Amino acid sequence: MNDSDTDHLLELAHGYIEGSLTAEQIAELEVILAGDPAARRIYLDFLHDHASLHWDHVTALGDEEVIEDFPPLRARRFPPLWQIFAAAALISLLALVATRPEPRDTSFATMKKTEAAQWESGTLPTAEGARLGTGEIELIRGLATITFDSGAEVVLEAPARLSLVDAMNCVLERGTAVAEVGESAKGFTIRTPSARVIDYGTRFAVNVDSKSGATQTQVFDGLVEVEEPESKKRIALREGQQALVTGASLGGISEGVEEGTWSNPESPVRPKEPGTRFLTTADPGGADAYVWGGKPTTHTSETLLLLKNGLGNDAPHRKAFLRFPLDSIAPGGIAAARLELRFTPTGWGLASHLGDSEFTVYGLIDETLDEWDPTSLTWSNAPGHEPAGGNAVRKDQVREIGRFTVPRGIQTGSFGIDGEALQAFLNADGNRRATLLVIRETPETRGGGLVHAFASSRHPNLAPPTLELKLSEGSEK
Amino acid sequence: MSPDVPHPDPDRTEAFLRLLADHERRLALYVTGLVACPQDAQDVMQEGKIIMWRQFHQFELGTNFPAWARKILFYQILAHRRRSKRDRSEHLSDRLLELLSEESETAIREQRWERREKVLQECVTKLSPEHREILELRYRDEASIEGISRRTERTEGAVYRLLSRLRKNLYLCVEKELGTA
Repeated sequence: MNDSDTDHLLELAHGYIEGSLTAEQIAELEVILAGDPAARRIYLDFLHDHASLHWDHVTALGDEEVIEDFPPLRARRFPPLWQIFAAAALISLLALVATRPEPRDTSFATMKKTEAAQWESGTLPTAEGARLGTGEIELIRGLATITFDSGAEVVLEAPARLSLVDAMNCVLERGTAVAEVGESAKGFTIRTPSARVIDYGTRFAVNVDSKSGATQTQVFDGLVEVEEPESKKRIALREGQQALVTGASLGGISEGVEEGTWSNPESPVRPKEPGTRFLTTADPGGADAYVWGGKPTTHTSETLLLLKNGLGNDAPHRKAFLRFPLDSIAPGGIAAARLELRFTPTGWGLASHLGDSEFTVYGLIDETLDEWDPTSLTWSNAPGHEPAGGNAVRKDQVREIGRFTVPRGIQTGSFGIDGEALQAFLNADGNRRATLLVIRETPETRGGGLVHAFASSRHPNLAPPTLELKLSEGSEK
Repeated sequence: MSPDVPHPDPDRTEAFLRLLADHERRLALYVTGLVACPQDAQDVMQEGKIIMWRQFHQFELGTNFPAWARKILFYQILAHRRRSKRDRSEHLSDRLLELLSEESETAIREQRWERREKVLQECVTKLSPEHREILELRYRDEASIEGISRRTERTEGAVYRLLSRLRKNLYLCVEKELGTA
C-alpha cells in the first residue's frame, strides 16, 4: 500500500469507527481489506490504537493539562471502565461462590428424595428438599432423586458422582443415573467423560464405568440421541435399545437386555462374631443354590445366590435354597436362632426400578425333599416352590418362618431373620437337615429391575449363609 | 479425552476470576478491534464473560486462556451482529471478520500490540493540549461528535475531520516510533 492508499484506508476506518460510512463506502472498505493482508494489518493496528485509547481513557493525560475553557462534560471516571467491569464480574462471581450453601438465585434443581443415601465429598447440599445450583454430589450408598426446574428428573444410583451444570445439563462422571424427562425438558443432556446423551422426552439410564469412562445408555421409553463429542457423530436410540460409547468410538445399537450390567459388584467383608454356635451352608451336609425361571439366563453367578421377582411371568425370577446340617445339635436344643445373609451388589438391573424389597424365608416341612442336590437344582425340580407362578410356594411343603426387608437402594449388608418361628422350625426338624427358601416378594415396578444377591458358600470373601444359634444347656452333641 | 467436568469448587472459581482479571483488558481490546464501536464491544464483553463462565469447565487449566476466550468472544461478536437491528450493509461481512480475527491472532502472537500501546501513550503526550482535549472528550467522556462540536465551538464536520486527522497522526506516529513507517 502506498501512502495515499493508507490515507484513504485510515479515513474509511475512522468513518467505520464513527458509524458514518455509507453502504457503498463499507463495501469499498470490505473490498480493500478482503484483497490485501497488508491493508488488514494497517486497519487492525489502527483499530487497536482506537481500542486502547478507549479502554485506557487516554490515561497519559493529567487533569491539570485540560484547558480551562473546555471543561470535561463529566467528572473524570475513575477507575477506568474495564476495571469497573472486571470488579463487577468479580463481585458477582464471588457472591455466587459465597452464597453456595443457600443458592437462592442460582439454584435450578431440588434434592427431591434420598433413600438410604450416604454421601461423600460433594459441593452441594444433600438434605431432602435442598435447592441445588452448580456443583457436584457423590453418592456412595443408596439412591438420590433430583428434580431439575426444567422438568427432568434424575435418579442417581450409588456409587455415582454427578455434576449439576444448569437446569438442562448435568455431567455423570461415574455410576448410574436413570432420567425421566418430560416434554418441558426436551433436550435435557447428560454428559459423560465419553459421550453426550441428549434426551427427547423419555426415560433412559446412563452408566459410566468408573475405570474406563465408557458410557452405556439404555432407553426404556421414547428417544434419546447419543453423541460422541470428538467426532460429533450421533446415533438415535429408541425404546429398548442401548449403546456403548468407549473412548472416541461410538458403538453400535443393540437391543437392551432385561437387566443391564450397571455397576461393578463390591465385596465387603464382614467378620463372624465369636461366642455362639454357627452353622453354615458350607458345613458338611450343607448346601446352597438358586434357581431361575423366565429369561434371561445369561446373568448367573457361581458365588452368589440371586434373588429376583420380575415383572410378569416371562420376566426373570430367582429364588435361593439353603440347607443347614443340624447333626451337631440335639433336637429341641436351640434357645435362639438367627439366619444371616450377606447381601452384595450384582451389577444387574436398576435399583430405581424397585421399591423397598421384602423377602420371605420359608422352611421346608416335607422332610423327604431335604436331600436336594445343589449342582442339579432347577426351577422345575426345586422343592417347595411353585414353578408355575412367580414367587409362589407349595403351601403343603413349606411354612413361612420369617420376613425381612432390604430398603430401596441398598444392595450391601447383612440381612436375615430371627425369632420363635425359625427356632421352632429348627427344633422340630426330624432328619437333622433344615432347608430354607429365600424368595423376594416385592416385584420390580418396571422391567429391568435390580437383581438382589447374597453370598453363597462358594463366595471368596463373604461369609456364607449362616445360622447363628444359641443352644440351651447340654444341647451340644 | 479429558473428562468434561464443570467447575463447582472454589479453586476453579478463583482460577476463573484470576484469569479473567489478568486478561480482560486485552480481550476487550481484541473485541473492540473487530467491532470498532466501543459500546458494541462492551455488550459483547458482557455476554462473552457469562459464556466463558458457563463453559469454563471445558477449559483445561494451564492451557492458553486468552486464546480460548477469544474463540468464545469471536462467536459472541457474530451473534451480537445478528441480534443487532442494523442492516447487513452497515458493517463488514462475517467472512471479513474471520480474516481480521486471523490477523489479530498473528498480531497477538507477535506481541505487536503490546509495543504499540507503549508507544501510543508517548505519541499522545506529543499532541497539543487542544488536540488532547478532543481525544479526551471522545474517549474519556465518550462524547459524540455533536457533543464535542458544542463543547469546542467547532462544526460537526470540522470535529469529524479533526478526529480523523488525530487518529491518523497517532497511527503514523506509532509506526514511525516503531520504525516500521
